[in-house]
Amino acid sequence: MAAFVAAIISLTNLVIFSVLFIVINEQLNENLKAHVDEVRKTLADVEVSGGLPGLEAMVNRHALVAQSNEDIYLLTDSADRYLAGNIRVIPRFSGWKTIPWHELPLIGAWTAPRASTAVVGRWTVIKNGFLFVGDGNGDINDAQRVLLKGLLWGIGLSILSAIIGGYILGMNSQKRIAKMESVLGAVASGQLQDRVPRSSSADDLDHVAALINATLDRLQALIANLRQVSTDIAHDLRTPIARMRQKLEIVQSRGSDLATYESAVEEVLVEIDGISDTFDALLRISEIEAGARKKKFVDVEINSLLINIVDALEAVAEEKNQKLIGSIGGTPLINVHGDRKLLNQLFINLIENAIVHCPSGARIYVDLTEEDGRPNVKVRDTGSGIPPEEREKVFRRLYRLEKSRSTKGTGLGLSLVSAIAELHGAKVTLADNNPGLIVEVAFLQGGNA
Amino acid sequence: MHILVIEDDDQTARIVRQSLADQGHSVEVAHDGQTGFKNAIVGGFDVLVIDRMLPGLDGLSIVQRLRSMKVTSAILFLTAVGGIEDRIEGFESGADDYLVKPFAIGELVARVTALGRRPPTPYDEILFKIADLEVNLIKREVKRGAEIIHLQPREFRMLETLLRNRGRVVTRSMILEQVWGLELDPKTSIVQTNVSRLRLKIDRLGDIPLIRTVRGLGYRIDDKD
Repeated sequence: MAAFVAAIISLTNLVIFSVLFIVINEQLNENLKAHVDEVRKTLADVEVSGGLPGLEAMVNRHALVAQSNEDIYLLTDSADRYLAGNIRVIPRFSGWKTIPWHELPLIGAWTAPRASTAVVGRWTVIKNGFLFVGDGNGDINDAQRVLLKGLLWGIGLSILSAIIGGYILGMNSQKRIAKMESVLGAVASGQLQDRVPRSSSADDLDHVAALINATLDRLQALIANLRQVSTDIAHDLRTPIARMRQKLEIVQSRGSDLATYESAVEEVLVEIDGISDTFDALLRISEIEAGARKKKFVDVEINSLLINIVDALEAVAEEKNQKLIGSIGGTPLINVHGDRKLLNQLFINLIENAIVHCPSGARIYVDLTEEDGRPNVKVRDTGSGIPPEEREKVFRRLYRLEKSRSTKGTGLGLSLVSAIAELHGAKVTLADNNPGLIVEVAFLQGGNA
Repeated sequence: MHILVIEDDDQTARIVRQSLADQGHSVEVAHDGQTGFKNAIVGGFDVLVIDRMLPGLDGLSIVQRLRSMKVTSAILFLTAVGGIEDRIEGFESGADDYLVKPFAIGELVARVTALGRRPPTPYDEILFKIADLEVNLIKREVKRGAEIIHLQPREFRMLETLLRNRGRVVTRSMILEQVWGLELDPKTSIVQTNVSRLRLKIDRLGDIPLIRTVRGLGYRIDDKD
């Protein structure tokens, strides 16, 4: 990353300096040629006013100071013979030419250090001969050197800052990634509660950290769920298995008559059904809590669902001398996004609970109301209710109130209710009906059908 | 009926075969998916009982392939876990019914029988007569002898369910499914209570009791034992 940034910065520098270089070079070349042109013109004028000898003298004067100016003069007659100047005769050419110093046949000792590497000059045809004027390219070279130096420094500094900046950024990311690695490593080895620390920067890495944490939360919840289920199973299935074993052992050892065998078999079948129910309910609860099934949700009309359940259970309540009363019909039709089978299970469980736990003569009401299309279902009874301090506990798995231990049931009914409700975005609360119990299922979702 | 049972557990396969054979059906058993699949294609079975988890080829794939090959045998799925996903997948793949293990063998026999006898057009029969009970499903009229019986809608649906399976056992869970659309195991005696009420209305008036209880399993409507 740092190298990439450095390369980009260097390239940008290079382009900028190249453009500058070309522009400045061009300009200096122009200047140089203008200077040479001016000198040529002046000298040509001298010939016009002072004749060839005048020009000769002038060229020689110029040549005297030419060493420090790095100027070159050469005057020849029309037969290309040397007349004056600081170089010997060189071949004539037309237009501009850049001639390296070492190719110039210099006259005399040129001792002063030279800034230029070559001479830019051209020939001029004069009345009685030829005149060559050239000027050293020292200024151009100087400019080039300065530019090159600037370029190198620029690139150098850019690379340096890119590397340092990149290093600092990289160190930061590296540290955070290392932290993620160590957290994931800890989780892999069983430290499920570890979480990646969040930074205040809200950048990509922080986003990843948040996702990792959310995943770990889910994982931890699922594993806790799994542990709970195994504990529950161990706890609640051992008892009936032990009972079955005792029953079978007794009939085996006593060599009983057919009727005893039959009743033992009957009892064992009942136990097996009970175990199977518990097992199913536990698996169902954990399946629901894992929440994997929402993708199959459809719109379920809650009014007729409740009417149907009341229809099925009315006779059962009457059998116990209770009255099951639904006030559902008056409410506009409401849809809930959910699973029909689970919603049936939820409300059957609540109403059956009321029927099973209420004494003869009790009244059980099923009320459906709605607010902005969100249904609210209350199952109210006039039974003995649940003491306030027990209300939280009854949602726990396999929890049963002391007084209901003797009745049939897995102790999972309300756990299942609360799991189904949660899956459907509904809240279950227990309240006092003075006397009796109100179970309220308040959906946070729904819409008029 | 000609029935194929695809089930890898020996004991389950044996009991299922025996119980179905006891009812006068001819039963074949395949112990793995591939064999079962091949037999099902060529066997011309009325009903296939297919376990979900099988060695070789799993039950779901077998059903999907059979249905894509236009094999029309009725199919009953056996699943070890009654997960809702499983149930939906089972029906989507083309099964007609499903049963969760562990199941009561009587429940399986009743459901297989119901599947196999399912008439080609299930609602073509509208007039039923058993002993002196007469039922018109279109007019929703019920008569026992000369007396007209008034039934509540749910009672009528129960009677209809029993009549369509006349002479055969309808289990409690089948009634719960077909009358109320409830696929669950109730804590209370929903079916028993409601059938008792129906029976009070139907059988009070006649000489022969028609709605018979099949102990531990369900009910059967018939005028002979």
